[in-house]
Amino acid sequence: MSDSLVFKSIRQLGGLIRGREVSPTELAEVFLDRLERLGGDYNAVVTVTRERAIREARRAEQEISSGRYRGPLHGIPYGVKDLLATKDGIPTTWGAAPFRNQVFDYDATVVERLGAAGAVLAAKLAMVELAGGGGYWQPNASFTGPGITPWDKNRWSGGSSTGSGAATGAGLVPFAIGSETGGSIMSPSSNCGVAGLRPTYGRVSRFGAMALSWTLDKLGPMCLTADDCGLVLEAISGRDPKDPTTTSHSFAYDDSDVGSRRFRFGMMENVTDHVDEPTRTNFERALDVLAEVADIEEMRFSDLPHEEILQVILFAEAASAFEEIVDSGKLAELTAPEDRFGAYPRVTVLAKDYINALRLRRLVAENAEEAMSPFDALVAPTRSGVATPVNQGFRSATLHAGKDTMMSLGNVAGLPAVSVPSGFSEEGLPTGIKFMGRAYEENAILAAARAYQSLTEWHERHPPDLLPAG
Amino acid sequence: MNDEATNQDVEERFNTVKRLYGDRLDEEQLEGVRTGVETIVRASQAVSAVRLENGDEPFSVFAPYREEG
Repeated sequence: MSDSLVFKSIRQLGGLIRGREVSPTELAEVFLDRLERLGGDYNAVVTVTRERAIREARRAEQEISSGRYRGPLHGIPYGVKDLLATKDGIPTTWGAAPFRNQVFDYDATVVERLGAAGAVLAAKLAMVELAGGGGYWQPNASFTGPGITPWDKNRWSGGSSTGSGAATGAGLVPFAIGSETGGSIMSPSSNCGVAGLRPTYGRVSRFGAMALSWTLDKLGPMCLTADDCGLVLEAISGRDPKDPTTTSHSFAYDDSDVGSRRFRFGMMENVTDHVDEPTRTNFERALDVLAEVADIEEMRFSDLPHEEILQVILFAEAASAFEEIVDSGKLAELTAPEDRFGAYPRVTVLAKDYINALRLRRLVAENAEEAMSPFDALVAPTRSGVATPVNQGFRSATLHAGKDTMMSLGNVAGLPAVSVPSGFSEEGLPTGIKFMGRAYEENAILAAARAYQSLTEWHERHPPDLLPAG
Repeated sequence: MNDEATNQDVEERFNTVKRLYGDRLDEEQLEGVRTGVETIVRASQAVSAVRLENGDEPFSVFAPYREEG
């Protein structure tokens, strides 16, 4: 029984738990074993939280036995990117050597909420040091080593949520929490062949999360399916007095059948101009599939410097967020050579340029709302290429020569997006397609992604060497 | 801003970093810092090139604090 529990969706596992076909402690043991046995192969894990996981699983088991079922996450193991604070003496390292012994005496709100939903914390997952706040340009940028995709041990997992993507894709956890400031959920979701949801800014509390850029940081789920992302988002979203940026817009996941629904999708003109061949081919095939359920039209955004706006905001806020780290000299202890100096230039961002970027942000958001309002979602390749070699600098790769307007605009305007697998290259590396929506329209993009996944089976493929024996 | 003015801007900002932190950075790292400063100057120029009206406010709304409950 235990082997067959791996690579099952949250919804499937939840059904087994609710039906008492599997116990939370049995489930926890399966994934704790995989985390301990396989996590190192992908540099995916910082800390396996075995003691806490067993305690939480036993509590879930007692509650369910006594008839108190909390919902679909009850008894489900998960991992969090190691920038989320956890109590019980569990280190929170931010992926960075100078903080490898850092301990907090409280849980991040997301961890608290998952606990309230009955989920079982099984691991703190690897990440790029300081969530990429040092400006890394190659994968070896964490004290736990470069993140590796479960699909090829010589390829990068994507980042900065390296372990969240790799652990989910390798079947080490049924789901994980990642964070995104400028692509850090989308990138590993695509490279690791999993579903990843970047919620609307303010949808999920960041209390207890390492801050990189206060007006850009977002937390979101990484799962095996878009449907699972909806289940997790419902559990972690909502107003939190501890994070004043959280929205009063409530989120209730609408998982109703999309069978007969017809969608209207927009697609940025020239959206595949700078993508590699397998990504383009798989995206074009995805469009053919989506044509069964959607009308797809080309569209365009106004000609604003989206990427530069993102850079100025990120650099200015990171300069403040990391001021103490910079002044302390701890940057010299980071793993990636470029991270040891990458934060210094940011002290030169002028206040008026930061304010101007925030003024332009309003124009970006208003333009995006107008351009996207006719559509249920915009579709695009998640990344410009498949996972790059683990020893190669990805920012210098020719695949990434073009600007990623969807990424820049989406993060500047705080818009939700979900990435799901769209196929594989000839080398067996996954590609992704993303659906980006208007603010607070997670249900629309999740419905679109579910419709796509109902017509394809890419999400049902898993790395062959990681499938349980038998 | 022409190339000469841009280069001067980069140099002045680079010297600020060098004055603040130069004692802990080697030559190779300082070159990396210079490249980083260039990126910031270019991005700032792109942002400044977009015309804004006087009434275009930042998209960060300040609200006075009052404890909930």
